[in-house]
Formats: sequence, structure tokens, C-alpha cells
Amino acid sequence: MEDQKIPTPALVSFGITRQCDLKCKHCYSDAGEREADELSTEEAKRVISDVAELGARLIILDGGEPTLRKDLLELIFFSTGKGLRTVIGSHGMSLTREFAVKLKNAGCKGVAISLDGADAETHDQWRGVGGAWARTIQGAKNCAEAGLPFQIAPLLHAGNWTQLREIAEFARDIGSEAVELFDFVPAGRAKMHPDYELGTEERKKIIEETISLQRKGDLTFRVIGLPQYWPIVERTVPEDEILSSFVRSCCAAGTRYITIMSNGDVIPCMVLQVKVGNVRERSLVEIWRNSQLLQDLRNRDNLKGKCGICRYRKTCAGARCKAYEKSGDILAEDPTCWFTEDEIREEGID
Amino acid sequence: MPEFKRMEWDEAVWAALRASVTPMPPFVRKKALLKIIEASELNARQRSALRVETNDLIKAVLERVPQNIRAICLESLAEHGITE
Repeated sequence: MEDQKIPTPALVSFGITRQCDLKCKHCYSDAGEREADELSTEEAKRVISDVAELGARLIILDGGEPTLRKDLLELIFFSTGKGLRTVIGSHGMSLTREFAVKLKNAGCKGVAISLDGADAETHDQWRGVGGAWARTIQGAKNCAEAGLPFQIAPLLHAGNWTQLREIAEFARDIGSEAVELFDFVPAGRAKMHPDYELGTEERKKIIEETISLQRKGDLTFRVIGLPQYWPIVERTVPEDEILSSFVRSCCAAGTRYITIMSNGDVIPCMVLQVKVGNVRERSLVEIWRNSQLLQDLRNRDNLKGKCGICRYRKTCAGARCKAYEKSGDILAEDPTCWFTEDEIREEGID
Repeated sequence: MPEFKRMEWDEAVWAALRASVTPMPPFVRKKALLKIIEASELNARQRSALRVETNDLIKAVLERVPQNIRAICLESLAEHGITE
């Protein structure tokens, strides 16, 4: 095994249940019914202890829908006690004001609320349940009233990406601290809807729009699954603005980030669904430190094709999930990257 | 925030620092960056140098960055070629 320094994960995503009462077209967890082999409370606490031992700062408890798990508050309290900044990822529909207060009192530092449209029709059609949008919005407002920070997390696909500005403005108006944009990746249940994947021109426009919105400065944007965002930011935004407001993200699968599923399976990222172990067989600490696949991901010199020669491979790395879904090789070039070879070698991407 | 700089910085050292702080939320970053820049420049002055170099930055991170995020910060710098 290659002698390599073991990085510290910055963020760990722990899907504590697969149970969910929505039917989202893209669901990467393929959520629905609660699994019979879901990790018990004690097993979940062991995972959380391991996350703390690895030195991670932030853990997100998601799913499925985490608020459907009865021991959620107990897990948040435990996690916070381990020194982890603990947040949840939720559809927001169960967040009454009272429950938001309970979350906050348990130590929850924030909620990422999925919102896929600026209007009910767009969101509900995608999420598969009528009335979902209204309940989600109410949940967000309840968080605001309870003093529980939240951010809006839209998944952008062919059916809603033109609403980006409206969603962002709406998010700001209801008190969201940030907007976390996810690019549709044909993984999980999303594989059944490949026609919703965005094209190059649409992705370019999303990046352009996000940069424009970020420069206005009243919200923080994070862009997930579209690592070409950062090279373009670096090329087009003045340094003082980058440092004061832009948030860098690259493909962190297995390098700074890892996902644990509700049955204990460990994968590098929610959308890079290659199993690297199960916490019932090996501890998360052992998997993080010893998985050969994770080590391969961490060495950016292993990347192939365009990504392997790209000047941005350390700050972008291409979307490993898209490489895997297209070719079956986690180290292959990002098939959706539009940068030309000349651009990535020397001239930049203006 | 480059305006926090009072001295000349080695270009690669500054680029690595920028890369290591940009994943932080902006409200945390400003404070962190100010502390690190001040400490790095103090380290450079203490060795009578006119320019901030690698060791000035590493020493600043070791001494001024809170322990709970120090490891991630150092690893991020290392990814950009700045190591102890």
C-alpha cells in the first residue's frame, strides 16, 4: 500500500435512516421504507464516536428523512457531546416550531432544507407529493422563528435550473443563511431519469449566475457536484472578492468527505456509490485509514485523461461520481467537463 | 482581504494560504485570515526578513490556529506544496 498521509475529513454525512415520506425522482438513497437492518441507536453512536476520533469538525445527519427516526434528538445530543458540529439534512416538512426548538436545544447547529423549485408545482412534481412545497416552506420559517439556522439546498436539473435566481432570492427572503446548489447526477434513483441531467451550456449558465448572485453578497453559495465552479471563480473574480465571500468546493469524495448509509455501508460520497466497507464489519476509522479505494482517490496524480493533466486537478479534481457513472472508473476524467486541453494546460478558461 | 497584508508574500505561500481558507465559511474566514497574516508577518519580521516565506506561515498556523481546525489547515497547505 502506498505510503500516504491520512487526511482529516472535514465533513461526514451519516444517513441514519432510509425511511422517507417523499418520492423524489432523483433520490440518491433510493429512500422509502425503513430498512430492517438499519443501524441501532448504539451502533449509530459508535459511528459518531468514530467520526469524532477521525478529527472531523462537521457531521450531517440525513437519510432518508432523519426526522422520521425516533432517536434523532438523542443522536444529535450525543454527537454534540463528542465535540462535533452537528447539522441535519431534511425535507423540512416535519419541522414545527416546537420541534425546531427541540433540535436546537439538543445541540443541532443548523438544517439543510431541500427545496427544488421557486413554486409549488415545480417542487411537488419533482418530490412526488402534493403539498410538499408549502410544508417545506413552513418548516423553514419555523426554523427561523426558533432561531435555528437553516440553508436551502436545491437540486438543479433540466426541469428547474432556470429558477435558480428566484429560488435564491426566495431563500434569502425567508431567512436562509446560505444556498447549497447540487448538480443532478445520474446515480441512485436518478439513474431512471437521465433526461433530467443538465448539459454543458446549462451548467455554464448556472456557474455564471451563481457567481453573479454571490457577488451581490447577501447570501453564501456553495456548489456541489459541479467542481468546475471554482476554477472559473478563480479566473473571473478579483482576489479580494474571493477571499471575502466565495466558498471553494471541489470533489471531496473520500478525501475530505465520506458517507455512511443507514445499514452501515460506507461510500466515498452520496453520489459516488462504491462500497468501501461496512461499519458492522470494520470500524469507520479503519475504513477511512486503510481503504485502498479511498487512498487512490486522495492522490490526485492518479487521475486519468483530461483530469490527470489539468492544472486545476487539486482544486477541482472533476466530479468523481460522474466519472464513475459514465465509465465505471472512479479515476477517469470527468465526462461532463467542458474545459479544453489548451485551457487546462496553460491558458486558463476565460 | 489581501489588504490585511502589510508585507510582501512569496506568491506560492500566499496562494496556498488562500486555498486553505476558502473552504471556510466567510464569517469565520475573515477572522482566521487576519490572525494568520498578522502572525506570519510577525514571524518574518522576527527573522529580519522582508518577505513572508513558508516557515513563517507554518509557524503561524501552528501557533495561532485553534487546535480543532489546525490539522485540516495544515493538510490543506500541504496539498498545495507548503509543508513543515
